[in-house]
Amino acid sequence: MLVAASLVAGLGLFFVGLYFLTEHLKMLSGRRLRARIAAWTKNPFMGVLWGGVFIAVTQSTAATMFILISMLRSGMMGVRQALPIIIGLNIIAGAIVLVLVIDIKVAVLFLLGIAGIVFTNDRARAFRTIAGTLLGISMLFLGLSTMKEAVAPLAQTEWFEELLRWTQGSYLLGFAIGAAMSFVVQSSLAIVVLTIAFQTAGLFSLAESIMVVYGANVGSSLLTFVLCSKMTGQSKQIAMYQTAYNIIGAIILVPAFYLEIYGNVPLIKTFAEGITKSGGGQIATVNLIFNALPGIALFVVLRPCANLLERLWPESLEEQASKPKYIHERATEDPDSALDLVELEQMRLLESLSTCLDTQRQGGNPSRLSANQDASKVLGGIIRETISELSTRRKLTEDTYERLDRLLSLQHSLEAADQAIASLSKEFQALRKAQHGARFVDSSIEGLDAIVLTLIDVSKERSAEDAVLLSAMTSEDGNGIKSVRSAYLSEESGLDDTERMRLLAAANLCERLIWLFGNMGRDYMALKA
Amino acid sequence: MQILIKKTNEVTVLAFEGRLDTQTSPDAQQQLTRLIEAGEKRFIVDFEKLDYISSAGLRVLLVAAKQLKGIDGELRICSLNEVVGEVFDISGFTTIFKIFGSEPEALDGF
Repeated sequence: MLVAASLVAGLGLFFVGLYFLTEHLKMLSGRRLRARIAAWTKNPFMGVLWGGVFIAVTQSTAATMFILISMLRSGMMGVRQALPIIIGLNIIAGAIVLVLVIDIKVAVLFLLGIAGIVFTNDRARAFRTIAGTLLGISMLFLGLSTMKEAVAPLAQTEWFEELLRWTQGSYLLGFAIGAAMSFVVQSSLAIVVLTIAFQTAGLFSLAESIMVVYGANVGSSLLTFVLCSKMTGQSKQIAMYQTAYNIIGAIILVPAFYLEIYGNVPLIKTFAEGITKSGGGQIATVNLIFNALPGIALFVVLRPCANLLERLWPESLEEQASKPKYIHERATEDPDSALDLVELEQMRLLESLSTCLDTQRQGGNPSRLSANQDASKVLGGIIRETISELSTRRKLTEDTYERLDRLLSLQHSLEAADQAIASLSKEFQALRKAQHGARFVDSSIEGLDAIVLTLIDVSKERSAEDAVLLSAMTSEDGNGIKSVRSAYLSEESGLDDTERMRLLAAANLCERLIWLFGNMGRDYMALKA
Repeated sequence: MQILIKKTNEVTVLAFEGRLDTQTSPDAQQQLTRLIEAGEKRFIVDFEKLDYISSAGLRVLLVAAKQLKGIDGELRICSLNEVVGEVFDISGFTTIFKIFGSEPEALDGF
């Protein structure tokens, strides 16, 4: 029972940590930090090096993979930068045979404590985002560590030792058990270390140990595969690359093993025996070869791999939506052009509002709303940062300052509209269960979308005619939501009290959205002027 | 969706039946544009038998209204049922178009 509870607790901590990490990396993902990361990983060799640094610090392929995925999702790096890092972390993981000399759990606990205190301290608000990121990392590690500790005793139990003895003479079974144990314990390194211990104790021959080591490495990839099974787009690309990494190693080395054992062809085993007489050293050598060989092969074909991954798991719509299409690294060198680009990006956010409403339609996919809004949040962060950089670093003309101010006001309104739609979505989902509530939901979506589409016309054409139409649609008099709300809240509507409360909340949110749309229309026309 | 077209006293009456949504809007838009380009300037859109209108359907009306404004024409709407009326209310379309209870009322004063 304790093992199961610890496993579940560890899993919960892991996912909370991952969520915290991703959300705070998004906030940190400024253009400057992205530019730095892009510089650090600008060539594949640097990427491989950084991968080695990551695994040396984290000691966990799974944890490093999820940190990489979070960085990808927050826009900090692209797939092509991530692939060499994956190669690096695998190679160095193979080189470091860990006896768990450095127990990072103590460091993780300190980090958790300090990050938690800073995060919740009102006086340290300026450090909240960094603290949130560190809190995410420490909870992720604590989750993994809790799960590991939950199953660690298993490795010492009699039945486990008996299980390992069972594999003697059966290489394939040894491979399978290595894979299974690595999957459960979440550390191929731990299984490799155990295997060395068993080999040194005479429980395993070198040949048996080799297959357990191969299986252990494949098992950790399978873990990544399972944890990333629901991912799509670029996150899936790098998760599958890591999964394929060790499978490629197995595809090359397992047949080679059988060729060596049964065909008497001197290959990896012979090489390891030639390198050192120490059993542990031989296993460590084999482990390094297993981790390095796919890396060498894959390093040569980085670009074709990236293209293949893109074809198999294309960037999701949300990933595309989160990336700037117009703002680029040197955009702020010319303030007026930069503001043109900001406007273009904001129009994408505006169109995204219509997409968000579309997810709420009958037959729509409400679960896509949060993915859409996550993408908007990332893009919105980039827009805000560009505006902020322009306002603090550049000497601007009065006209440019005024324009910048309007665009900032637009950005506030876009973000407020996004939040209102998120809140509205919750009310809509509840209201859909009632007949009258469902009708209100459908009418609201169509009405709001019609206004957004008119606002998009205003943003693109800036014509007085469209502006007048929008103004009429969103005016206090034209805003028919009040009469609709009154009709539904009347006694004759047939709604019960809970439904009335929900409808009131939804109608108020609709009213807020209509007001925001009107505001944005005025901002756009002021920009034109 | 069906659109029944008739002419009464130089006014073209389009009676919509069914749903005016993303699927059916392009066809409706085409018909209206064709009529406007053929020289028709005064329209009544009868929604008595329209079950549902989406934002795409509202856009059809908006585009037609803009086209007509340029040639001094007019588009009136009549016989909104509760469902369609609600969409008109929330979208603010009740301030943009003249809305009547029935076709005779809409014809009156044209």
